[in-house]
Amino acid sequence: MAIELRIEENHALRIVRVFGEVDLYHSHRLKETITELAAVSRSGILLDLGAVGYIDSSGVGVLIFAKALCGKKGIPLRIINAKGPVLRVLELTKLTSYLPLAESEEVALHELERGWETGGG
Amino acid sequence: MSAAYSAAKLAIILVGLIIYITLRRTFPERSQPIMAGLLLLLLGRDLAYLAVGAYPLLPLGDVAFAIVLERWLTRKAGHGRRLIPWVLFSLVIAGVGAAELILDNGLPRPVYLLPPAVACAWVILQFYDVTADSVDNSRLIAEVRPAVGYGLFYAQVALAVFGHGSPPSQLVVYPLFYLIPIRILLGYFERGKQDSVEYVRSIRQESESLFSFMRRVSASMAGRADLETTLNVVLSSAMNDTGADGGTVWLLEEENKEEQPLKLRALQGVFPPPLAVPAAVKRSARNFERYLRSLSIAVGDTPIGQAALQRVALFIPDTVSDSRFAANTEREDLSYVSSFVALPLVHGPRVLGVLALVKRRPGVRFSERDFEHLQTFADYATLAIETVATYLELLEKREVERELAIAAGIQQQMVPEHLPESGAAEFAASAFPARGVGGDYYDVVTLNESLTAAIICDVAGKGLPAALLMVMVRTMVRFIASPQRDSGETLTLMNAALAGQLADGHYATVGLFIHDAQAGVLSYSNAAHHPLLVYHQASGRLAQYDTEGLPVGIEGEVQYTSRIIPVASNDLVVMYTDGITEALSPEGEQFGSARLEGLVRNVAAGGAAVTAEAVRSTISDEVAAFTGGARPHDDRTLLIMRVR
Repeated sequence: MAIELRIEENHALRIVRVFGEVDLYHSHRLKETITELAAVSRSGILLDLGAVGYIDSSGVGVLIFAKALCGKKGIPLRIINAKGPVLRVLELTKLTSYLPLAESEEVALHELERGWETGGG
Repeated sequence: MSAAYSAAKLAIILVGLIIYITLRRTFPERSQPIMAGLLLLLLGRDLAYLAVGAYPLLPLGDVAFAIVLERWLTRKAGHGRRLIPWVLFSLVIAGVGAAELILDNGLPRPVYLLPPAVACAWVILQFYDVTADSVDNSRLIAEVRPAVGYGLFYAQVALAVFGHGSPPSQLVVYPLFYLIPIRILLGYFERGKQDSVEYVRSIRQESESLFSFMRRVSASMAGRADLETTLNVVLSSAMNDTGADGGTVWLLEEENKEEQPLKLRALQGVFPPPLAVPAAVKRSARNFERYLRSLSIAVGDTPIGQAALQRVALFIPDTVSDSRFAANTEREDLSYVSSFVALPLVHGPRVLGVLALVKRRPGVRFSERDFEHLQTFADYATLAIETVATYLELLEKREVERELAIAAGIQQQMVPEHLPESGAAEFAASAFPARGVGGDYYDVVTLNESLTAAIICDVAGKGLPAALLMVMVRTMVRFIASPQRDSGETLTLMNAALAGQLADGHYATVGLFIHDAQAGVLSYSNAAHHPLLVYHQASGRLAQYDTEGLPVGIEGEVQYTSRIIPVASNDLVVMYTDGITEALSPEGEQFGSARLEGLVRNVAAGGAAVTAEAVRSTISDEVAAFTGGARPHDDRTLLIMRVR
């Protein structure tokens, strides 16, 4: 099972919808995509993990990487739809409050928009 | 009308007939019913005129001749809609002629000249409207049209000058008409001969172009294999072979998942999609390309999606008559398409995508031969794309695996050869690496005569960065752990030292306890690893202990806390990694922490007789039995301590 990434544009925001498995063999693609997006987008990145069936520590590493990279560049980042096995892994590694998880896409979009108004992330 | 005159006319007609019959006999397979019809029509006209002598028969015959000739042309050139006005027109002429016959020459002669002149002019225009490379028969048409054009033109001029019934017209002009179908028949024979020569040549060309394509694909793979290069080779080969003006390769994101859209993966030339494009996009070629690259086509939508859905090649030689190309008809527009081909890339039961080509010059079309070639070509192209994709997947795996092998070597060297023995506690540990390597690491370090530190660690990811992080953790533990620090302080320092050093996204979960034999306590701190399991013999209770904190290596500022856990003689302390609890049975069930805890409880019930090694081997064996002996997908590491 491979990974598939679909990138959507919502105004200046980039939404990355991740499908499949974010594991040792495939997580580097997500990392590359985030790096590329972070190089061009200033307005925000939304990571949708709703269709991720499996994530391992490399995948979690990519999420941490995304947070670190976006933090460095001042790009707002939200992770949405972390559930099932994905959420369990994040809970086990105690990262649920560290990573910028949002309840839903609407909440995330709202937060990001508010972030733009106040000029922060 | 003199007898000699009639005899001369009959002789000419006979010569025409003999030529026709000879040609038919010589090349029976090339006999053309329409040409035979034309000759019979002329014969009928002339015989009727000889018999009846009514002038209107001649112009009527000419109009009929022009109509049949145009019918032949439209059939050969593939556009048949223009005939209808001429059927109506000829009916009007026939009506006028019939009236004329009945009224016996009531009209002035110029009236008869007009209809055949207009009809012939129309046919000539039609003949010259066929572009040289648009249809397969266009070469035949191009060859015969000077004869048709000049023949009809001069015949009409001569008839206008001499009149229908005059001897020059009867003896010279009218017999000229016979030459037109005969010229066309000769053209057929000529083409027939050339066709067989060309057929051989086309087969050779076909195989050469396929060979050259395969060579180009192999060459592109020999360098740095990537799908994009291969797709571009496919596209440029297909475009070269057919003279296309634009081409695209669309692939399904995930093979054969038809609910997914087709995405543009390669583009060359100008390729207008068969759909209405926003006006703003059409202003510049750059915008157009950008628009195209962002476009997704659902399977089943547009002729491109149709080809993917039905797995049938789609050929639209002339887009003018196709409603699906309603948005592509404006000649001056970037979205103009004159001819279109879409080929599904089908590999066994799977559809990989669609190869679509366009021509975008008015009147210029793909030929049947182009289409046939492309269908064969698509098979080879699919094979090439599939091979490269498989190869790339393999390569990616192999690169990862080579790195894993190196990392495995590093990891192997870090496994402690002997665990320290003390009068206060005994240790047992094992690491069963996943497919040669994982990110697990454990260590037991004696700090002084009373204090012993034990650590278990699961490094995120695998491969070299993970192995390096493992080396760093090991070094740090041995460097930082000291009798002066409790477990929380040790982790806090270790994390602070590691956090700035690691590549982004690298981290490790760490469980650390320091056993104080004199005080009879454990100082335990956890950086997001599995909680510590302690079996207290006195109460017969298996307890779980945990502390707050992120994995190490992420944030430098984290303060880890310690938890003091009293332990007594024969208590069992168990640390483990994901590989144990996430071990899968052949049915796909996880081993789970409940099963692990139950197992520890059972073994520990043995009391003082239970060694650390017995606990370790029992858990290892149970997990192995549970998985049916399958190789683990993650390291299975266990670290057991028994208090003496």
